[in-house]
Amino acid sequence: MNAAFPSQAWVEALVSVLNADERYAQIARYWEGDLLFVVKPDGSGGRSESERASHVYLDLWHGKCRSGRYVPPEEHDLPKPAFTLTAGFGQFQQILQGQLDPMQAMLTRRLQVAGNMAYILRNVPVVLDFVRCCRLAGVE
Amino acid sequence: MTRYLLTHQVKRIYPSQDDLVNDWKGLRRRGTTETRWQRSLYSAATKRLYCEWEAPSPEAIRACFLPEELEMAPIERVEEVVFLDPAWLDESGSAEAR
Repeated sequence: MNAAFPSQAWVEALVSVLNADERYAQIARYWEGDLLFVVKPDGSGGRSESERASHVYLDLWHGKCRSGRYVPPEEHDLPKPAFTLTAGFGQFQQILQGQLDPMQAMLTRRLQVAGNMAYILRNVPVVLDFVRCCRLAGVE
Repeated sequence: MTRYLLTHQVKRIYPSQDDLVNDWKGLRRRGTTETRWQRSLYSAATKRLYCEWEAPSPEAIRACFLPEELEMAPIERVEEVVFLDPAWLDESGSAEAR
């Protein structure tokens, strides 16, 4: 299972992994919060970079993923999730390939978080297991 | 320099990433050449934060904290500790095994 990140195929692979994974279901059984990845193209990080960002939306609820979709850069109708995680493509790739610890990325702002950081820190095992599932979905 | 392990009970966490990171950066800056926050481990299950410091005394460490930080994550315990690296066992153990 190796789909390009970010893409609709990757999102579908991840949703399948999340909904089939018993460990994730157990660890994330109390998690309530949808999230949006904002994947900026690597480069200067200026305004035009943000406008060209692509997005991945995942509705995570009590150990399952109720829905997920890829939102390409040209689409501007974005959901308003509980958590928005923003980073360059390279940073996301490092996290998904296991080269960058997600919590370290958050605490160094390489992965920017909009949403309740306290909730995330109270649920570190959920975050780590979610990233494990992302890795199972594959990165191309 | 003496090595200390601090155990904090985390009562409250900043909800904003910026506030959290800025606060931790401030704590890091308030350290001196003699009093340094080295690394931390966090248990979400017990809400305990374990921090390793190098300092001349526990008082020197406490002096780095703002009152609000001690209110959010009070220090439960300060212990003088030594570092034990299990990698040493691999080096000495390999000779014994032969």
